[in-house]
Amino acid sequence: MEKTVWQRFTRAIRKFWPLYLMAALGLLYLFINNYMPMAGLVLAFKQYNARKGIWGSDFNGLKNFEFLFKTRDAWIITRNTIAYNAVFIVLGTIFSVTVAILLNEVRSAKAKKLYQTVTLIPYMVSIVVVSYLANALLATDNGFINTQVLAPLGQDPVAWYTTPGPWPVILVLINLWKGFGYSSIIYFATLVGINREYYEAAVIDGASWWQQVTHVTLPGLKNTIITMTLLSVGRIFYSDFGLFYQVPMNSGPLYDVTNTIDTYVYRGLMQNNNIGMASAAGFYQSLVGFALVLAANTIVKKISPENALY
Amino acid sequence: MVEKNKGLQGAIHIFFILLTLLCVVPFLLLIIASITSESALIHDGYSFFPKEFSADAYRFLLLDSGSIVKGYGISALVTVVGTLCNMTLTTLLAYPLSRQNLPGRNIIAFVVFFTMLFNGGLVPSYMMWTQIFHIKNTIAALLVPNLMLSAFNVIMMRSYFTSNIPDAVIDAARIDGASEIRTLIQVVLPMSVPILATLALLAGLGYWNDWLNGLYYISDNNLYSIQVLLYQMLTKADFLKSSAASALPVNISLPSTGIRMAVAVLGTVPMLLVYPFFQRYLVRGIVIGAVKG
Amino acid sequence: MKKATKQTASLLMAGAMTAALLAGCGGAPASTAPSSAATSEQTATPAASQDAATDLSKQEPYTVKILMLDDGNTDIVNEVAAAASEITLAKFNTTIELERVGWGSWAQQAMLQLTSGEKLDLLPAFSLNTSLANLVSNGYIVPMTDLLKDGPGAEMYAMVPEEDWLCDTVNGEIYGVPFNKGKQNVYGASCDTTYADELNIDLSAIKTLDDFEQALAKIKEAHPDIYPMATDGQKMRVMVPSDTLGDPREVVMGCLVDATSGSTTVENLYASDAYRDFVERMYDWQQKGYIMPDTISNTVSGSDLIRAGAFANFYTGPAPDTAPRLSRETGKPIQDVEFFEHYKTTGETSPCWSIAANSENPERAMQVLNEMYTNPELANIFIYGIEGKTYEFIDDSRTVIDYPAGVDASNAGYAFDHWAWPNMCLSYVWNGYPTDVYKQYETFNAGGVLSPAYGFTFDNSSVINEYTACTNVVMKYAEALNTGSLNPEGNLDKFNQELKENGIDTIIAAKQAQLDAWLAAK
Repeated sequence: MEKTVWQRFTRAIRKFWPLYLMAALGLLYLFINNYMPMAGLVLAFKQYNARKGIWGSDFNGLKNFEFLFKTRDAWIITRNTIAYNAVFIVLGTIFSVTVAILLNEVRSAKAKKLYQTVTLIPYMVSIVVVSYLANALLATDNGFINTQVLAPLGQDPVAWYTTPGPWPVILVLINLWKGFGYSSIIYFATLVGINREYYEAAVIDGASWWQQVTHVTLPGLKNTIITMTLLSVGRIFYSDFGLFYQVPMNSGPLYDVTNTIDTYVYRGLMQNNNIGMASAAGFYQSLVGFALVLAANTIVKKISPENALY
Repeated sequence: MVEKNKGLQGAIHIFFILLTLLCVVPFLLLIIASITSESALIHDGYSFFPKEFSADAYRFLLLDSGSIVKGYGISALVTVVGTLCNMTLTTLLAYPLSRQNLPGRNIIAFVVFFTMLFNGGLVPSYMMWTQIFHIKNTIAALLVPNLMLSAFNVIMMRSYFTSNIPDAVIDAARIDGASEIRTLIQVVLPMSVPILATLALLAGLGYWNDWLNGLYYISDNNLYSIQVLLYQMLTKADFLKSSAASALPVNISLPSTGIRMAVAVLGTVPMLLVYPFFQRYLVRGIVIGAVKG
Repeated sequence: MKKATKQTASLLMAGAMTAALLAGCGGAPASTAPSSAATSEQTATPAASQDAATDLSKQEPYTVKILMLDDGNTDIVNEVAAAASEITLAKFNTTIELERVGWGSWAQQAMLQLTSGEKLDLLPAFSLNTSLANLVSNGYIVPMTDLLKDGPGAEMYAMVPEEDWLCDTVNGEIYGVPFNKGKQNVYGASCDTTYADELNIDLSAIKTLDDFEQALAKIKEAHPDIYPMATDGQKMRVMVPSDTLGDPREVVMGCLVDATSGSTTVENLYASDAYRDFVERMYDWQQKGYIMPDTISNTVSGSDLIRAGAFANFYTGPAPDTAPRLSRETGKPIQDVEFFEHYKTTGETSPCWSIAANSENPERAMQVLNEMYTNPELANIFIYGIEGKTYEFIDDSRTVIDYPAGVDASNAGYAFDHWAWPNMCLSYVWNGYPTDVYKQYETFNAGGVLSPAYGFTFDNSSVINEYTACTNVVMKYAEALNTGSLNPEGNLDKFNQELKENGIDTIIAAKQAQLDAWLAAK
């Protein structure tokens, strides 16, 4: 038994060594960039002391976790991270697929290209610039919305950066605005690849436009939608740091609706200097995110095995 | 699709015109704000039709054009070199993963995928890069950490290879006696232009828009990229003051709002200028790739 | 070795600087004041001191890496390091490496360097969003008591008053050399006198916040389109004369609410009447249009807002040269008004230069730090850069300086925050400042009430997690309340409720216990 495994292994190497060699370069990078720092996860169980270093610092058991979950913060950051991502995934997918289908309907090639080009522009812009844009719209005394929209309507100006209420909507809109162009291109690329014959057959069967969409287009997109969603679910415990930190200008009164695990970890490190607790939050993020992906992947494996990630 | 009625076409065009406006108009506001006089910005607010235009912000930036030009240089260099490295690593990793008959490919795929889920956090990464690899205040600090390979892109490229490159094509190449690397370069890659274009654009964006690596690993202002300059201005308005304010006569106030808008415009425009050229290949690539695949 | 350092340094000092200027520094006990030390030591035979000096210069080569806080230009910074190395190589066989970190990323980069174990010898432990005790409990900096008392820092040790050392003492060990800067808590506002002159406001008659508010009302009435009260970026200084017991002013977990009353009861600042009064007043000012609305997204500093037309900006802890400096920065005539009597606290004295735990050789770092504190030539290289390039003398006695022709702040490439270096009193006087400015500092630092907890620093390591949780709560509310952006009604109670839920009472109890123990030991 052992021998055959070894034999299989050497045979594989002998036969496929060029492929392994190719992969080795990227794997080496991942090992350095991603795996080596993982040793630092041990900090979640320690009271960090720089003089003693990562390895020499004293273990304090689960104290960092204990305290993290005693605070209200643990609940808020978990809720925010998951809820925002869930909304981003659902709305983002619906909207991007819609745009892709409609784009496919546009007959003029020029218009098609123009629309595609322009809708991708928000995706090109750094989140720092987006926060400048948001500020131009939302600034209390001279922002566009207060001075050019609300004032002419006779409405009082809103102090956006201290009013948490509208922020979930604002953040969802910004995320949608920034991201839909890109994901609709991916769906569009898949759409173009759907065999024309299916549509022709559908038309011969007398299918309406809507029936073509539901019976040919959407099934054709299924694989891509599943893959994209699965990848997003895998990241459901991670948030776009810039979106939740820069765009609300790190404004305190908004923390209840803008604090996510990533911003919490960042603040824990940079403002509070509590490496133990920040690492505990990071560990929690990785662990739960991992469990969620395993679960999602298992489900997908059952439904459509060819779309499973591994 | 066949038999499209005119009403539907009209409705779709209206939808897309509104959508494109939504994508462009905020930038218009940004650009107009950068040429609005500071007092109009402060008193009347941001507007598409400002009462008073002024090129002060740009004139002011000219006084300190050195750091902007340098920032452009750094950003451009990092974007070009970084994208090339990123694409090389991504392709070399995705291709073996796409080969159905490669023993152990599932293990490798999991190793790649796993990096999307777990990370060691900022402090251990920082320790490693600065103390083992000594990249602090070198151009490598802007190139290497985090941006050079993303598991997400590897998975996307692998999926593309799997679904668009028939095994028969690869087998045929092997029968012709081509080595693996030659098969990849001469057969697979030419068939994969769309995904290459898309991922190159993504990688390029990642590099052009990155400011976190600059924030953590760079303190030498000869290595400030345009985004780091922008971030510094956002967090510390005095940054401007120390770099150029005293060059102004004292009684003229610093057009700080306008300047920030101007720098934001300068940080965005190059990508927007390059992108349409890219887009041409991108769209054509997608169609060709789809037809061939 | 101790004696040798002392002698050579004294000789250098005596040569390069007039005794009169030096006497203005430090407020050291008279017997060890540098001027007298210099004169008495001059009798030492040159041969002896030369021998001693060569002694240290034969040490193993070593590089001392210094972190500096500055928006300067890296090329110039490297030139400064080279110039400084000339001195330290001759003396200690030590090379200086300077790393410049700009204000925009100071806290992040300095913290990363400290946590990561990256090679670092000296840094200003300042503006790091944390207390000295926290730096100690995280193991970021090393104790230096021995190096100061009987080591290469002895000369510097003698120049700083005993009670100032206490402010940088944690668990009985000294962890930093306090900046030789203004050490009084002064609460007040810097005002643009053009408005006062125009509207006949007598600034010197303003003694309270009520008086000040009347002035604001007058200005707002005459100039309805300006916001007379500036903020510092997103921040507004809290005009409550408290002793934060070593906490940074932005995040106060338990303090002596009135530092001048003599009470030693630790209380929650945010639950105090004084704080409520202050934030209610700020909210009222906001409603009346005295303060600009969107302070949360404001990144413009107070002095830039004054430059752009605001009337005044609150400050805490300024010094004799604050008004002239602000005048220079803003181009406006500035006069200060003050609201409370001066007093001294640990927090205002404790910003210090520390030796990082990552230093491979703290003794060598201390040699350089001592030299920076005592050698005017070296101090001025660090503070002002390269003569003829970033500054030049404008008088024959070589004490007053200005930018060289054709150079200004925009292209000097080196910023001159002299207070952020160990001993600014060694530095030349900038053109336009009073020539006896450092003498004025001495008088300024000598007066004032001493907080009963002066010298006490809270060590938060036993309640670090509560501290983190409460810090998050303070971040959430305090800035918005301080600037009047958030209505204190309801929100202030919610603020305190959340603090309670996250354990502020535990922190306060720990603080009180430590303070009581400290007072008893005293």
